[in-house]
Amino acid sequence: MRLNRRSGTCAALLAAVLLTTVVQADRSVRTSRRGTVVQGEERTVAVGRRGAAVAGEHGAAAVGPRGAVAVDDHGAAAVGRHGAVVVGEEGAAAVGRHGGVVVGQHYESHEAWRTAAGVAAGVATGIAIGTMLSRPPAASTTVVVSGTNYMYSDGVYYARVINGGAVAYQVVPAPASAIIATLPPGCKSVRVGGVAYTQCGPTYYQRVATGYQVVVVH
Amino acid sequence: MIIVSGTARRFVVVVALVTVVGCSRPRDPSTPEEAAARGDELLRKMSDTLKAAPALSFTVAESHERVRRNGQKEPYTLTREVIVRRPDRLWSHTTGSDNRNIKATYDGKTVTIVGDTQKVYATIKAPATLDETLDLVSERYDLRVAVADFLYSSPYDSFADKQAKGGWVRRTTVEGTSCEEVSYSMKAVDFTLSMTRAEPTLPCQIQITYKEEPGKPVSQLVFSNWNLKTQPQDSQFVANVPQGYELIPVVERIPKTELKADPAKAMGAAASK
Repeated sequence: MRLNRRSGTCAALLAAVLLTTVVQADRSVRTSRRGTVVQGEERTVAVGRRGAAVAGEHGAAAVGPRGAVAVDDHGAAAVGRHGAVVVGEEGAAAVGRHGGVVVGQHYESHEAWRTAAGVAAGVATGIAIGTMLSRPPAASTTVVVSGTNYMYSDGVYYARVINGGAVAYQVVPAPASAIIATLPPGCKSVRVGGVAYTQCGPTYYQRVATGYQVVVVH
Repeated sequence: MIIVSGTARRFVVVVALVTVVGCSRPRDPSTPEEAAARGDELLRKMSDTLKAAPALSFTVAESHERVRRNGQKEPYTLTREVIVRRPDRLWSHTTGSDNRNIKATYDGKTVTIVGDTQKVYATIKAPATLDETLDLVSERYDLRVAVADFLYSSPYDSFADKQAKGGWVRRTTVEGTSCEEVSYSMKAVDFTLSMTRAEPTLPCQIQITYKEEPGKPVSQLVFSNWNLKTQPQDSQFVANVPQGYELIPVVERIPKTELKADPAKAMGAAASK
């Protein structure tokens, strides 16, 4: 159920993800002559400390220790322990923090991603897990979870990674225990196992004294 | 007895000097074969100069282009200070127009990357030599360092390609330095490299066109502050991670060929890091 829902989301997002991305070509002559591993036939995938990965005919997909993988005509989508993964024809890959592996394209900014995805300003929408931005959204705030700093904006959490020699901001699943002051738009009240939650996209929140806390609902 | 005036004597001296200097340099190539031979000679001399230095330092002013899928190019610039001590030490500090402020240190065992702007750091377990480490970070971690061509123990191998077409092009001046320019066309890239006319032969500037990348972006590196007699101490290559900086991951790329050949091995290697 969870796999199907998230795979569907990934497949839908995949088309948008592949439309535009940033190509940054500041490699050495030696590396260029050998051929790059980030595009063309040499599609790539990465794995976290506890993850695993598979490569299909149409791309590569990665999976967390408790996750699963789905591959369709447009690429592959995998579900890690805490989130979904998207891999495209020119997919890049990154190591997730919680054993899950995330993969995505690189954009200059959130605005550039919106333009590429055809998303109007002010519309809350799901940017694919794994997508990397050169800089975080202008309105983002810092959320600290277990000593790790995440950037948060409009329902989306970003972790910092080193990519291509610079720090990038990568979309990650909502980290469990993160607390935000206000909920993003488009949330709904749900009950799971008799417990009331607020569901915002794939993320569940519970009201706490200082705001809304991310919880993992099985 | 012939009496020569002071002005005439000075004229004779100048003519003699010009003649000596002019004759001591090879004439400019006039055929494609000569241009190819002269280009190869310059590349070898430059490579030999860099190879012979046990340690070296220099500065690079870099300009690069990011290309969006719609073809729009966005330029950005970097300034990179580099210190190398062969065979297993590297330090570099890169600042850029994109707010980049990255220090990278290689101590023979580990590459440590410190981002001062974001107060983060990352580590990569590295091989025992700089050559192997440059290969690892560029191919496995896609840490893009265009200047890496000049850091290998044999820079000539970076540029030598039997399929490459080109050679010596012209004399030129880069930032006030008299240089000689070579240009080559390869399958994936075209590059134009100028090297100092005066000994020792050192890189002045390189321009690389990435022909197989969408939009064919161009990178240009201008070198300065060459020091082939530097004697960096071990402490230069000890990573300094300020207290409070956060450890973050480095994006790692595994070629699909490796996954196909032995997925368990490829994944196991990555997962064990």
